[in-house]
Parts: sequence; structure tokens; C-alpha cells
Amino acid sequence: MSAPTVADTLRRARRGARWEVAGWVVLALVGLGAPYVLTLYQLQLAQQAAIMGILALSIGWLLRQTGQLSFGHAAFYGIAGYGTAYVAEHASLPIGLTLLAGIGCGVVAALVVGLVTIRVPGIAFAMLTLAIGMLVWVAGGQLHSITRGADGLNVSLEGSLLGKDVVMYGNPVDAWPLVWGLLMASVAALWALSRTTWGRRLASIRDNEERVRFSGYATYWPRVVAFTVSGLVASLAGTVNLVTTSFISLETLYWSTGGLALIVAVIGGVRSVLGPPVGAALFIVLQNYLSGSGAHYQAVLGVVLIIVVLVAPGGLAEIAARARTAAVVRVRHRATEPAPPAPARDPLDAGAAPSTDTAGARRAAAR
Amino acid sequence: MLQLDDLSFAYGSVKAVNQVTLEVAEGSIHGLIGPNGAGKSTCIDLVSGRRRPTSGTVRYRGRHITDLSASRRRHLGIARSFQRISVYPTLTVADQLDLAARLVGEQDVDAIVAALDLGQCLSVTPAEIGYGEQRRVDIALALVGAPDLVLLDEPAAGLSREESIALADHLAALVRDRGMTVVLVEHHLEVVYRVCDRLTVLDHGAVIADGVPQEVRRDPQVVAAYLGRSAA
Amino acid sequence: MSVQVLNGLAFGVLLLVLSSGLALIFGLRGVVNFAHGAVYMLAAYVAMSLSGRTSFWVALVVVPVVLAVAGLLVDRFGLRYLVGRSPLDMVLLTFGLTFVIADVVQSVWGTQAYTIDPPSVLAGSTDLGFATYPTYRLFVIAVGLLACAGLMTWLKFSRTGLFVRASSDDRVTAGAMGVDVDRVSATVVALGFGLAGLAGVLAGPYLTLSPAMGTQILIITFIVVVVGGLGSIGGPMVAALLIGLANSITAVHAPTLSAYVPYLLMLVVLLLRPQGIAGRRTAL
Repeated sequence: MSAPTVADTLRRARRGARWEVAGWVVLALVGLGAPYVLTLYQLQLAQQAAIMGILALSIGWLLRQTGQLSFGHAAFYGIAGYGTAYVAEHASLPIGLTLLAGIGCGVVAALVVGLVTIRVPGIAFAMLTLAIGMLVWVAGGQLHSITRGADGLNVSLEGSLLGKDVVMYGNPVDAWPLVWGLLMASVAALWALSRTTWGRRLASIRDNEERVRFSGYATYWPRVVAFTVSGLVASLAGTVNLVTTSFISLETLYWSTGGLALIVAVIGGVRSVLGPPVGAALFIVLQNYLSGSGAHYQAVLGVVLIIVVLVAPGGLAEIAARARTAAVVRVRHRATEPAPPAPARDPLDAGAAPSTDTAGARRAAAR
Repeated sequence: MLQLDDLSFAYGSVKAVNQVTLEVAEGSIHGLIGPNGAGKSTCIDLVSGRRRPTSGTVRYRGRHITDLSASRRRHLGIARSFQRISVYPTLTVADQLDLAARLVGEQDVDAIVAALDLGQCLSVTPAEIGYGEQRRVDIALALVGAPDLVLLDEPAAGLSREESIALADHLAALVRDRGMTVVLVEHHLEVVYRVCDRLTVLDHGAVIADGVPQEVRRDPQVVAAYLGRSAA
Repeated sequence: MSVQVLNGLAFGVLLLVLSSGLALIFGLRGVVNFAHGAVYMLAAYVAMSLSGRTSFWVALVVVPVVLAVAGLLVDRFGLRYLVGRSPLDMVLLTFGLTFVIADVVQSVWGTQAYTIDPPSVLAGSTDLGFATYPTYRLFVIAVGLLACAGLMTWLKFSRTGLFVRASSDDRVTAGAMGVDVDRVSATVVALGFGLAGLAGVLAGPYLTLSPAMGTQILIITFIVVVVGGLGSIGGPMVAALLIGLANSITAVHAPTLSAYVPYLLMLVVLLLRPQGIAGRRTAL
């Protein structure tokens, strides 16, 4: 046997991806059937969860890939929403262009914020994004003629989007394929992006920015682009939210919109791209259940976050990965197959890219 | 190949590097030695672009590089290792070498893996390997792409005497083999005398001696700098 | 004009008390306490209820002490477990705390805004010769400055204070020198929470109580700390007074702009001097 090469090692580590892609295609297809199973009210909740999931995904991916904690994503979410509303009202563009223009507003905002903040390290970055988010909120309050402040803005979109009158998307049954499709597309796109050389390069910048520069890579623009990509996904959520509700108010811009999404992302686990949407779904269920019994979902959520941070920093994704590994070990044990030497798992890839040991174990389990 | 002219750097009022002028010849292993706090690592920082000098210039192959960014300098062929090991904590060794190799167009990263004996730890992260191996990963990151000038900042720090000598011999063979030029900051004088073609001695940020190892070794000023410090 | 300066001073002193607490905790635990504003808000509400039943003076003493104890618990059962993990984990922990406190405040006191009267001794105005100024605000200025002077003295001369400065400079070395970093950290987190509590009590009769007050002040305190320099204690003190003054002066001369002034100041400082007025350039 010849010595292991770098290329071989990388190829082996990537083999697990096939299973993951297959799993997602199944999940995406199964998800499309939701309207046939859920009641209208449940579907409504599922739609909320999916939109929040997209926002949480944008924040969670940024945290995972670049190590940056953004408290200001509500700004991009809100700016995209208001931008769409503004364009719809003041320009008579086809609906597709209107939506793109709205998303574009959010992306431009993210680009500008990224240009200014990206060099600021660690915690100061988190503080800065919170401050900028609040600045946008303050500005939104002062631009009352555009935003209508806390009263909110009722938006009437017109035109035909993907073969349906855009008004139809106010009905969850009609909107579901769009919302679910966008969620799964975002998940898949960000997952794929993480696995490209550029995505891995981002992870290396997160790990050790200085070393990357000394390896011959300027780190400023890649991080700005990553922040903008994250802002794009957040903007997508903002515009979809507007399309499905035809309403937007100042609360959308408030820091807690982004803060909540961040919390559910962390609870779900940012190490997996599926973690944030799962966290969002859990939140919506919890909120719905608790508000029915008159209890306090904010406090519960805060406590859950504290517990997750203290006990399982990888969130639900990590718990699931641990459970899977434990189950696999048990199966493998029963099969009395000689255990292959298990290389330790890459801690940051626990959920997103099952490393060689879980993938190998799964093959063992399949026999 | 590398010229420092009147190079100075101050941390506040402390002059860490004080009007250093020196020249590194192509293909040589040039040792930079001196007591703790003599300004050796700061010199490496100035050449590699981690810090900007307060005054003076750095020239590389006749070109002024004083104000170039670190990543530009890497592409010109100046690479460095770090005194405090600087690797990527959550990436596998294969991943980090692969990413580094792609940046500088290294075709045969496996040759470096073999030369530094890292084949056994390719699939794991630095947290799971020993200190000596982490050091070698750090050095490997500097060596990919066969840079013309390698700045090694205490590559043997934290290693035992035997390990240091073994690593130094190994590195010397490797860089000579590939025709690289090396600036070596090192504490173990034994290692330095063993592999270096030329030495520059710094004390309090200034050059106090410069020459071939045999001369420098007997220089009374150098002896005083080392003995004076260790006696204190 | 002198009234505006005094207004700026009063607000600045409030920020001073808050930002010193934040800076202290940051220095020791390397964590920016995102619950700082929530603690301040909680203090204001509790003080309101307590003043109603007993007196303002009882609240002024009791509330900061109770919150200091709460800070002790947060450090002991929360932050201590996260030492060695990413500082962002600590941020998330305090962020979770924010949500819990916000929920408590909203369910006990509702979402409406309150304004409360200062205690009768401090009601009305005082003639300062050059201007007549509300007595309670003078009181805020005096207590705030006293608290900060006390803090500085403590840091400078006490044994623990020395430890605090030592561990802020270099946690590892301080630990190696025999400083019980855990104990010092607990003290400092307690002190930070206590100071936030004091600021909350002081703010009650001065500003308006509402569920948004915590975040609003938190943001401005962040700006103060970033402008002053993370990791420094003196820098934020200067920045606090500066921003307080800028705030009150623009409030009169350019009311529409005044909401933006702290943000603009922060942007300018970050672009020109990313480490802040007195900060050390460290990777956080």
C-alpha cells in the first residue's frame, strides 16, 4: 500500500456527500406534499417556519462559514421587504423585476455594511452589526412616509408570478411550493457553496485569518462577498415574507427579528445547513403551543438557548449526530464486524458532511 | 536577494528594530540570532509584511516591497512560518495543505507531505496530532509552491535538542535541494552553527555582528551580549 | 447652553456607569455582556415597584446589591463553564439572558411606558447661579461620578483591583502568578451587574421606562465602548461623556439628526482608528 496522498484523503472525506444529497432530494419531494397532510392552520405555521428558516439559515451559514455573529440581519430582511413594497408602489415593473429589485435593495445594503464592518474582529463585529441594525430601524421610523412606521404598510402586488396571480400566494396552499422550494434551494446552494474551494477557503479564514494572508490570499473581499451572500439569503426571506403576507411593519426591522432567527439557528445547530431551519420549525411549534397556554415563549426560548450553549454548543444537529453515531456503534457491535479504525470527526463538519467514520459505519450498517 | 536598508520599527517608544541593514544572498541559509527581545522576530515580521516599518526599506530581488501586503509578498515568493504555531485548528491537515497549494500553484503537495513525514496525519485536525507534527504542518504551509525565500521563525521552538537538530538537518537538506533561500531565526546556537552559511547577530534591535559563523562565534561583542544577558 | 451641557453630562454619566461595568466584564471574561441593557431595564422596573412600597433610597441600595448577587450566579453557573470556548458562546449566553429578562419585565409590568417622579427631596430645581437645573439630574451626575471615582480608586489601590488590572492585561500570566482568576472574575461580573443596576435605578425618575429602554441604552453603551476602545476602562469613560454631550447638543440644534449622531461617531472612529480611542489592537 502506498502512502496516503492529499487528494485521496480529501476524496475519502467527501464520499459521504452522496448520501446527503440523496437524503435531501427525498426530503424536498416529501416536503412538497405538506399541503395534502397538514390543515390550513398548520400549513400557515409551516410557512412561517420556512421563511424564518431561510433567515436563520442566512445568519447560521455566516456564523458557520466565517465565524461572524451578525445581530443586524433584520436590516437586510426588512430593507428587502420595504424595497419590494416601494418598487411595487412607485414603479410599474413586471412582478418578477419588482421582486428582484426588492431583493437587490437588501443585497446592496448587505454589501455596504460588509464593506465597512468586515475588518472588525470578533465580538466588536457582533456589537457593530447590532448597532447598524438599530440605526436602520431608527431611520425606518423617521422615514414615516415610506414605511408608515409601526402601523405598517399594506402592499398590493400585481401580476403573474410562476403561472399564478401573485395575490394567490396569500394562500399558504398556493404559496407552499414556492416557499418550500426556496428554502430547500437556499439550503442546497449554501451547502454546495461551503464545499467549493472558495467555501473551504472561507472556513480557513475563519480558523486563522492571518495565516491565510501569509499563504497568499487577500482575505478582505472574500469575507465581504460571504457577508453579501448571507445578506442575499436574508433578503430573499424578506421579500418572500412580503409576497405571502402583503404586509410589512417597522417590527420587521427591529433587532429582535434577527436576534430570534440567530437564536433558532444556534439552537438548531449552525454546523449543519439543516440546523437553522429545523430550529425555526421548532420555534414556531413552541411559540404556537406556548402562546395557547398563556406561557412565555421568549423566556422559554432564552432558557433553551442558554442550556444549548452550555451543554450542546452544536445544537440539535450535534445531538442528532451524536445519537446517530451511538446508534451506528450499537448496530456495528451487533454485527460483530471488526471495527475499522475510526478517524476522529472534524468538529465543525459533524452535521453537514458526515465524515469518514459515520459514512463508513453507515455502509457497515447497510450490509 | 533580500536587502534591508536602515530598517527601524518602534512599539511606542521602544525601538524593537533599530536601523538594521543587512543582505541575504541567494541560495544561502542566513541565521538571525540574538538574545531574547533582540528584534529577530520583528525583522521577520517586517520582511513578511506582518508589520510596516517606521522607517527604512525592504528590497527583494531589487524591488521595493516595503509597502506590499502579506499576500502579495507570498506570490512574489516570500513565505514564512510562525514562532507560535499558526495552522487551521478545525481543518484536516490534508484540507489545509490542499488549500495552501492551490493558492500558489503547487503541483506536488505530496512531495512536501513526504519530506516532512506528515502522511499519517492527513485525515485529522491539528488538535489530534502532537506538537512536533503541528510544527511541521506550519512549516509545510510555508514550503508549498517552492517559494524562493523562506523565513523560518524559530522552527525548533518547543522541541528537544535532538528533535531540533534532526529537524534542522532535514530542513537544510530540503531547502538546498530545491534551491530556496532561508532566513532562520533560532535560539539553539548549536543548530544555527550547524546549518547556517552566514549569521547576523542582533541586540536591542541593532546589528552587532555579521559574518560567517566561525567569525561571529568569536566576536567579543556577541559573546558579551549572550553572556551579559544570561548572567543578569 | 450650560443647561445643554448639564443635560449631556447627566446622560453621559449614566452611560459612564453602564460602560464601566461592561468594560470591566469584558476585560476579565473577554465577553461583551449583551444582557447589560436588560439588567439595567430590570433594575429600573424593580426600583419603581420597590420605591412605591418603601422608598427610593431603599431601592437605590437594595436593587444594585441584588443584581450584583445575580451577576455572581451568572458567572458561577454560566460564564465559568465557557472559559476556553469561543467568546461568541458567552455572547450567546448573555443574549439568551436578555430574552428571559425581557419576558419577565413584559409579563410583570406590561408593555406600556411609565414615568416616575423623583423622591420629594430631589424634586424641583436648584439655582446654580448661571442656570436653574432639575435637582434630580444633579443628583444623577453626583452619584454617577462618585460611583466611578470609587471604582477607579478601587482598581488603583485595592489588592483585588490590582488583580483585576493584572488579569485584564493578561489572563494567563495573572493565573500563573497565583491570581485566582475565577474569583476575581466573579467579583467583576457581580460589580458589572451591580453598576448596571445602579444605572437603572438612577434612570427611573430621569428617563422613561419602557420595554425598549434596555436595548436602546445597550446600543449606545456598545457605541461608547467601541469608540472608547474595547479592553480599556479609561477610554470608554471619556467616550461616554463625549457621546452624552453630543447627544444633548444635537437634540436641541439638529433634532432629526440627533438619533444618528452616536452611530456616525462610531463609524468615523472605526474607520479612522479601529481600536477605538484607547483600545489595544487585539484579536477579540
